[in-house]
Amino acid sequence: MRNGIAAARLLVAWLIVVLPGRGAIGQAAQQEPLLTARHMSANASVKVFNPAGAVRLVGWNRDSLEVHGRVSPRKRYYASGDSNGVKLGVEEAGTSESPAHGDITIRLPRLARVAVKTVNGDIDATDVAGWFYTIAGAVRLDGTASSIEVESMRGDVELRVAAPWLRARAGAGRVLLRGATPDVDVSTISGALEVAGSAIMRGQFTSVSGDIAFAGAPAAGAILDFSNHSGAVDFVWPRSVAGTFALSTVTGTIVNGFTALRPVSQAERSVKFSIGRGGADVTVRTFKGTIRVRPE
Amino acid sequence: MTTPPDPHLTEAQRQDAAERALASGDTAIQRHLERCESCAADVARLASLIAGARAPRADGEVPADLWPAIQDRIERSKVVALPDTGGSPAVRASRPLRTRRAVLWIGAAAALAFFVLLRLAGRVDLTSGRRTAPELAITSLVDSSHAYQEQARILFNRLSLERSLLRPGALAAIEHDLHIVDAAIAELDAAVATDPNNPVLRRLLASSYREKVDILKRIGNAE
Repeated sequence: MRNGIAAARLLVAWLIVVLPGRGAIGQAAQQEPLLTARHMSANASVKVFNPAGAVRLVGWNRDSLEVHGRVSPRKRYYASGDSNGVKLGVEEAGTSESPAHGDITIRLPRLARVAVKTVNGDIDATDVAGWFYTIAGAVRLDGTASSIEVESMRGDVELRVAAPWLRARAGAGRVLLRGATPDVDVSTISGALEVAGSAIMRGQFTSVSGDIAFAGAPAAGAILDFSNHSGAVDFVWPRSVAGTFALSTVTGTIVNGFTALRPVSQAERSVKFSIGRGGADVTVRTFKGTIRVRPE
Repeated sequence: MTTPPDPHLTEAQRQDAAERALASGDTAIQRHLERCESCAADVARLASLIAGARAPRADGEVPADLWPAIQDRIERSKVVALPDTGGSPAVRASRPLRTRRAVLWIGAAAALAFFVLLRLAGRVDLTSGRRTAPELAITSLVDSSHAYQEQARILFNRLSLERSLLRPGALAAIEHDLHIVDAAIAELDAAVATDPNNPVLRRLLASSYREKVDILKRIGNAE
């Protein structure tokens, strides 16, 4: 009962704080000058390039594309195409000109697919599927999408999406993964990788030197594979977690925080144990990174 | 009882004879050539071709008349003379069957040879009739590491070519990431050298190469 009241309070707080905020974002975007408005097919393709400045995308239930924003100088903005595909963005300035800058908001059919590329600008998208690429900007995706592919060289990546599959590659940036995506392939080079994924059924998580942290109980029947060279792999599981866990490190250490846990096999720097019945199949490998397992 | 006709020399025997003619060899083939005009003429043509190809040219160029003769020989070798059957449709229909049988025999022989090779390499467990799982895993991981390594080499060459086209920020990020991955690969390579059958090391190495390939693939987008 107490839990129910707490949940209701949370929902009310969310309605008060988040929804008006979202509305404000939408209103603010629509107050910006209109750059393009045209009819679009439901499953059209939209290609966006913005070298300096932010790109915000919102999937909506209309058969049209609307682009609002400010581009300076205005002549650098371009948009061309037809109902099945549009290419738009901000042209880079020549070497003798001052650099072009544009912050743009794009509303497009929910089933459309995008290919978005920025250099320094952030990418925010809600209910939009496709490919998102940035060199130094941050990528934040939420809502639902048919597929997500993200590449970021230095920027952070935050994914709170429900999609059938998701692939993300990051360099030095941190990757945060939430949401309900059953098929996931995420890697970083030196950035941290944080996952809360009780809905993940097939997951591959890789880093070279960034720490990987996984919180929450893996889904029953899930197959999760973690690989790290020198970063740590840290698990925080509820005591009710179930599955078979194979942890191996070459020169690192394995720290077991489950005191009641008795491994079914244990060699030097390799531990295998099963908890509960059925559950997930989790494999962890590191070269010199520490593997930690502890209860919530 | 009549003596069976002396069969013509095979292509390999003719080529051998042509080589030996230049080195004045004397074999059973040579005796056949003395009896058979057709083979002797062909060997003489071959010897002339070889001599032409070997002759030193002052200008370093291949003689213009050399290729037509070689081409003609290749084209003739593609034509297989079939025994005269008098045009009987029944006999014509049986030819594909014979061809199929020959293909089946060749296939069976190849499969047997492959199996023997695997057996010699110690990769087949005859008691179970299957490759053992750990060996299979290590072999395929070695293969995947090599595949990634080759792909990484090609992509790295591309980076060298396109370096000047990349944005400075992107180039710095790629070089930073490559430095981290290369250091990891070097550590893993050294570890694999001392413990080559460790599947964890092999998988980590393959994973690091995959990361390197992924970084290098981003070059095209970073321009």
